[in-house]
Amino acid sequence: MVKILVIDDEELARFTIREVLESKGYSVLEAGDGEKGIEIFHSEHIDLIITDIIMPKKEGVETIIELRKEAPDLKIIAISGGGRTRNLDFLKLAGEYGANKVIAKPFSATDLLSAVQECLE
Amino acid sequence: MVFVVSLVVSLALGAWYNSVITEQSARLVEVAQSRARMIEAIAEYDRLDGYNHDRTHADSEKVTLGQVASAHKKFKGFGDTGEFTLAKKEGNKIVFFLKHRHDIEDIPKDVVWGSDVAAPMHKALQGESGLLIGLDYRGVEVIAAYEPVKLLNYGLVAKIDLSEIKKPFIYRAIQLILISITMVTIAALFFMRISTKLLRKIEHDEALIRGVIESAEDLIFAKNLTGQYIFVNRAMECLYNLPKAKILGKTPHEILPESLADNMCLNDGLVLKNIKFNNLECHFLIDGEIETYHTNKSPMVLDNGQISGQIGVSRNVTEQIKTESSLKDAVEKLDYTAQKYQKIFKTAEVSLWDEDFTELCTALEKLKNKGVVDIRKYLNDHLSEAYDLAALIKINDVNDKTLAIYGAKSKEDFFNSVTDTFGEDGIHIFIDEVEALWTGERSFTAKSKQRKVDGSEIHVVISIPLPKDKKLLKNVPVSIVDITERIIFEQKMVEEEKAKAELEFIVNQSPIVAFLWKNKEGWPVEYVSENVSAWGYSKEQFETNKISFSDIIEPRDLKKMSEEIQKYSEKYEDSFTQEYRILTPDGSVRWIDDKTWIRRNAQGEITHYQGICIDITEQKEFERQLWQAQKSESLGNMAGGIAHDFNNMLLPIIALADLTANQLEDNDPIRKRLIKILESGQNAQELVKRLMIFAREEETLLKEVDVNDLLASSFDLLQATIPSSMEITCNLLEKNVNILGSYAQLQSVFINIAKNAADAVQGKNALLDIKTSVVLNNFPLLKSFLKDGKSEKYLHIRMKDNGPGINQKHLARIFDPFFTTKPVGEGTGMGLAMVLSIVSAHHGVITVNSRLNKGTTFDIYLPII
Repeated sequence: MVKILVIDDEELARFTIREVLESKGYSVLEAGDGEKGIEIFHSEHIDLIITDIIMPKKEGVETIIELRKEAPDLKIIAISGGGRTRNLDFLKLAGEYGANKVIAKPFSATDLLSAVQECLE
Repeated sequence: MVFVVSLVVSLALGAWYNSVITEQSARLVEVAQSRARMIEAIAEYDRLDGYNHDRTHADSEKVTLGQVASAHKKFKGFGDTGEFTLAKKEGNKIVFFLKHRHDIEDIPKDVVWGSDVAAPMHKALQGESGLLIGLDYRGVEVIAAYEPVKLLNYGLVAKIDLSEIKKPFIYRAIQLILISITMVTIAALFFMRISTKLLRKIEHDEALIRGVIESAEDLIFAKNLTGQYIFVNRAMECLYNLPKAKILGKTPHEILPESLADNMCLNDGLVLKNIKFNNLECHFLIDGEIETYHTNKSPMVLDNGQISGQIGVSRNVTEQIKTESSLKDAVEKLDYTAQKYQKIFKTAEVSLWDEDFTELCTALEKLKNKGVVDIRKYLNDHLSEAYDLAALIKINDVNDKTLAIYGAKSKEDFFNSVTDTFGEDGIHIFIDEVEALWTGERSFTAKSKQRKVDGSEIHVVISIPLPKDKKLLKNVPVSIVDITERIIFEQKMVEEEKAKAELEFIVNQSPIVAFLWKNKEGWPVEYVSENVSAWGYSKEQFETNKISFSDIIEPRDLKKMSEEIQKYSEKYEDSFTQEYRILTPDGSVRWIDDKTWIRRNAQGEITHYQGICIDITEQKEFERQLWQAQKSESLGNMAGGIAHDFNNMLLPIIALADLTANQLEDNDPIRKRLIKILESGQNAQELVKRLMIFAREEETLLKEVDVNDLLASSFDLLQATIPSSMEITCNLLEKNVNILGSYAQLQSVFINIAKNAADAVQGKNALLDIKTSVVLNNFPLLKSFLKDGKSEKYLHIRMKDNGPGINQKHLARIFDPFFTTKPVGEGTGMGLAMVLSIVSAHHGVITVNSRLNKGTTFDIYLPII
């Protein structure tokens, strides 16, 4: 069973993504921030990580850089609601630092599932 | 008279005769004595000689007689009758020995001793010596000196006939008597002739003197020792108002009241003690007026020195005193006037010089006589003479103001350095002055630059009256006015005028239009700077009142402006600022920023307003854009802030609605509802996207865009998205250009504007015309909006619809975010805000114009590479 780790500080976002992924039979693990996410990654076999960019404690881009160092082949999808800061496209940045896909929030269930599928293929 | 004359003549002759007799007698005595001594000497010698020759005395006597007789022979006598006789008494006879000159006989006959004749010989023979007048031997009266010749006992007589002596006296006496008689006769006749006239003259003179005394105005009187009048003249009668008869013999006390009489008798006692008094002052009351008399009193002294009374003369000096008093007054007045003028001279606020031109004029006369005609030329050719002439002017005095003007401490200080005060132009001004004097002008005035005692410069005006009367040359009043302050003021004025002109130039070169308008209906303009031409008006139009200030004010602002002015005027403010719009002759509207000063007169009434007006139209537009930008920026910040959270919130809505919907059957009614939720969530997502574009959250990547390609693709997009009821036309550029831009964003600009147009028109024949062209940066509608870093050329896209237009109120807010006129739910109000944001991000300009019922036009300008 494909195991997907969702890292997002928004509980509602984690719930939504879990609902969507579980509907297609993916096993979903959750983390509230980057540190927690990396901890879980170390303790579990994770096939795919979906991480938010703007988070407390450890930012998404920082998390991606760390994960990529440890697991260059790990599939990572970066998601972000954008905003807050101007002139910096964190999603694009995430892509440059190793996210396999980037999706802007809000996205539909369809968009997410197709992105996950693309990554896992 | 004859007697007197005869007496005088007789006395004179007598005296003369006596003296002649005395003289003759002395001569006779002397002659007799010397002859007797001589004969005695000869006899002595002969006697002694006789002793030697044994001769007797008788013989010696004979020798002596012989010698005497011999000597006597040659003697011719003296005068007509004078002679010597020598005789001896022999018995009773007197025997004469010598031959005498009266040729009666050779030797006189003997005379009987004791007879009447030969009286002198008698005396001599009696041994006497002397002189007598008596009869000689002839019996003729003679004057004779007799002398004894003692040794021989002879007598010697020297005699002369008395008749010879008397003869000239008798003749003279007769002559004198005759002359005297003649003279006396003549004198008597003469006396007789003139004495009558003399008497008459004396009588006449006496009458005259009496008349003079009588008719004299002076009081003349004489009083005796007891003080009674013994003479008074007519004036006295008048004084007493009494006839002479009632005055004479009376004392003043018998006629006058005591006090007046005392006055009249003042010092009378002393006068009678032989003291004279002059100018005794007496006062009389005559016809009610006090008259003053000066009286001179002197004693009447007789030949024997006794005083018999006094004479007095009184003169009425009332008029004289009055005259003297008025003369004194006049002199005092004159003195006062002189003092006054002296004071005026001394304290005058003008420098006054009292100068003496006498020597100068004399020197000029000499030059004239020498033949000099043109004095100016002459002095210019002989400058040293000009200096000499200048030195001939004597300064008598100067006043205090002169010292003040020239900064001299004292007159001495001033006179010591007076030549230093003359400026460099001094000698030429002097030559001008001399010419004026020469040509007989009445006065001379000149400006001169002089020096103070300390050397600092002063400007003065010199005025000299040039007197015609030579007497006035001694004191010519030269006045000098210090005009230094005026000159400095004038120089300042010139500088100020210059500065004013420069200021006016600066004002005219500046964008500030200066106005001065009157506080009257319509605000007529008194002054406006020339640069009002920038507004399309001329200075002249305003200043000739063809246009007044209120005429150019935008009617919508006029009321507000009047109220503002009214408000500030009532508050007694000095100045205030306001913004208003004006209309230019071409119909365009300009924004003016006006600082207005209120001018009031002495009564506090407002007379004028003066305003400096700046055209702030462009600034206003810039401010509007800035305000827009600031609004957009703050909105962008806000949008950026909420977008993240908003997107997060939308995630469960969209994703879960999508998920759940996909899990339901197609015909499941819940699925439809979920799809609506999904759509609505996606709309919200779209709005956030737009907000993010507006906030430039999403970085705009500008790339080279082919304009015609952009236009073509946009046209296709519009055709697909805009309702078909609206016809869209679009032209392409003949010569294609590239711009730097975002394809997608620019497309969204076209779509947003087109959508707004479509929403506004809503009907048949709706039309959207898109025209494109290339313009230069000085394109009139564009240039005022461009800032630094502008391009040379711009792509101009004009999108014009034929809709109802937008009113001005809405037009001003059209680019504001969230501003919409659409019903709630139909419009977000972000469309045109985003358009402005995109155009600005492309360094372009967008303007909008709209006329009600005519349509709205958007002009977009984008820089061409």
